[in-house]
Amino acid sequence: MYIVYTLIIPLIAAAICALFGRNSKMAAYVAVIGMTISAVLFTANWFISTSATAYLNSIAATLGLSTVGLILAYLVIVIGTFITWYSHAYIHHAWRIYYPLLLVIISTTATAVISTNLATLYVLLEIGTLSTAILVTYRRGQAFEAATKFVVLNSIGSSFTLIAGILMFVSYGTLDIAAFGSIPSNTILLISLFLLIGLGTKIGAVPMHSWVPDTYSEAPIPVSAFLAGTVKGASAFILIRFLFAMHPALDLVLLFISVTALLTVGVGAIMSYTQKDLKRFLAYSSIEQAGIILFAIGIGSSAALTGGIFQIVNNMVMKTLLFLCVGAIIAATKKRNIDSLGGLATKMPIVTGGFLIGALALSGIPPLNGFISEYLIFQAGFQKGGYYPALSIVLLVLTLPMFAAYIKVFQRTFLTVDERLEAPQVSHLSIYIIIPIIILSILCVLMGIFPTAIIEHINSLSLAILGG
Amino acid sequence: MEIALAFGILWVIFAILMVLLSDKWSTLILLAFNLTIAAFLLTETDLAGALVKTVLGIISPVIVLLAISRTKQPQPKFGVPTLILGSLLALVLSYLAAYLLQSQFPVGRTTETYVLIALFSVALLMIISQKSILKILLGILILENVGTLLLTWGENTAIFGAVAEVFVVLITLTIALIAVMDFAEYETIDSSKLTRLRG
Repeated sequence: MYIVYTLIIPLIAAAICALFGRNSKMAAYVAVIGMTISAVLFTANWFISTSATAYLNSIAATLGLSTVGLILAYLVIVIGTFITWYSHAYIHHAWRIYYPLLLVIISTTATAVISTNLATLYVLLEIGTLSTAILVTYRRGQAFEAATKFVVLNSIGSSFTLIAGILMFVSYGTLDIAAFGSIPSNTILLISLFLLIGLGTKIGAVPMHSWVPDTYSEAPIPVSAFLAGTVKGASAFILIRFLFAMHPALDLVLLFISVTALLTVGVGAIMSYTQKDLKRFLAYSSIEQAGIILFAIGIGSSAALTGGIFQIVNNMVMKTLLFLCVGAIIAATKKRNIDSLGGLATKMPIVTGGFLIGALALSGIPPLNGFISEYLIFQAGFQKGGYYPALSIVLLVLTLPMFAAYIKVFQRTFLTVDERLEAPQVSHLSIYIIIPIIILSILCVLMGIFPTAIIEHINSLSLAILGG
Repeated sequence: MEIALAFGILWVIFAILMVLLSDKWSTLILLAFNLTIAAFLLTETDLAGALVKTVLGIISPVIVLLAISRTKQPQPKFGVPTLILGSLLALVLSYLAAYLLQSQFPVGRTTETYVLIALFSVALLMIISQKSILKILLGILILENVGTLLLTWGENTAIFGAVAEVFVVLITLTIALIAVMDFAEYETIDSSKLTRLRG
């Protein structure tokens, strides 16, 4: 039944949006209504026991969709709904293809995380990549440069993913990753490296990260928010599913992933500290977050995967929240350089609160959700033994510049008032911009204070992925 | 095996020529590359695969040629002697790597694996040695062809192969379109000059 929420409703809405063509207001309403219906029905499905129709289930099974990863699909749809609400207020006179493409990206991402079929997954990832490339060009001018970097690097990544997928298909004799048996370890090594390069590019792992700052800073804020929070998380989850579908995942590969993760965290954290543009700052901080998720994958134990998947879930919420806050600042002040901002705390209290919660959560400060997932990852690193306790300490040290960067940006944007500069004028913000910020802020707090239910669910998910 | 070897040598020569020649000639060679892959699929009695490769393998080069006609090729990053040296080095290194890993190759696929590793290394060389976005796209298309050739090792691969080919065309279309937009905005498709955002 879930295929209706992840794929069918958003795609029908996308088709109707496309029909409205130049009437961007009507297209926006259709997108908002379509995604809201999808999110409400999906939410109801968690609580109300429905007997799904055999027909829809058979379509889902044919496409190779399973219930593993359903929680992530749900989050993608919920966050996608917020993004369409936000777009409705943020994007004035949208392109005729803006909403159809946005809904296509949301639906392909949501469906990809529940897909276990290599061909379906490849199709979904490619549709998402190509749609994103077109949306990145939205602001024209420098956005073409960003789109070029995005599409060239991601196409190279896609080629590696395709070769990895074909190697899996040829080696295992099936497209269904749930039915993988055992193959020689050298083949696993080769496939793992191709996967890491291919999906690592989509995640923004160093050294394939150079598209991230340009793309996130030039794409429209709702698109950047969705890419940084959700698409990145979905790609990391797909990497987990592929990597651990091959039994056994090799220690050498895991160690290589851990070292890549540390490099990614280091580059992301240090570069973040040097940024003055709010969007580029968030782009580099999302590289740092990708590194933390990769480190959990590199540890490779069930406990680490639980922490890693929880970090993916949290990152979807936290990073989207921060991008939406920055979007609100840009919409209200028409400025994005932190040196030209300042003193916004009194003028934009809700956005200030949202940014503070998001920044603290991403820094791993208790009792917010980021603390729980990062703690689980560090704990798993120490439990694993070998090199991993030392690597975990290195990770902890590397995250410190990121924390300092958040403090610096928060202070300069919201607190400090430079009397030599003209105070930024703040215009009124739409309720559609404010509501997602409030809801995501509350989620960051609630998921930190009451993490047990979600951790239990994710724990069973990670055991299922590891074949336990 | 002889057929695979003959085709393999031809493809490696094609790939190296694509590294050395201009955007336009490289694209025409890609067309020949795709058509010879279709011919190879026929020898493997994969009629459906050959048909798909013929049809879709023509579309991609045509799209690139259209993009070339609307842009101007930038000055190459390296001269021809350097590229010849680089290609030879890539071939020698790939041969050495393949030789060292030969015991791990799939049974009965030794020749094909050597060819694929050589093609893979030339494709990577092409991607890292070129400044023209369209030439980098051609490198990506060689990589995709490595995937197509790998698919011939499996069974019941027709649908996956067709899907992959369709997306190769879509990737080509997107990159070509963005290259044309880049040229309209910056009057160049030189990837090293698209640096305003760097920092």
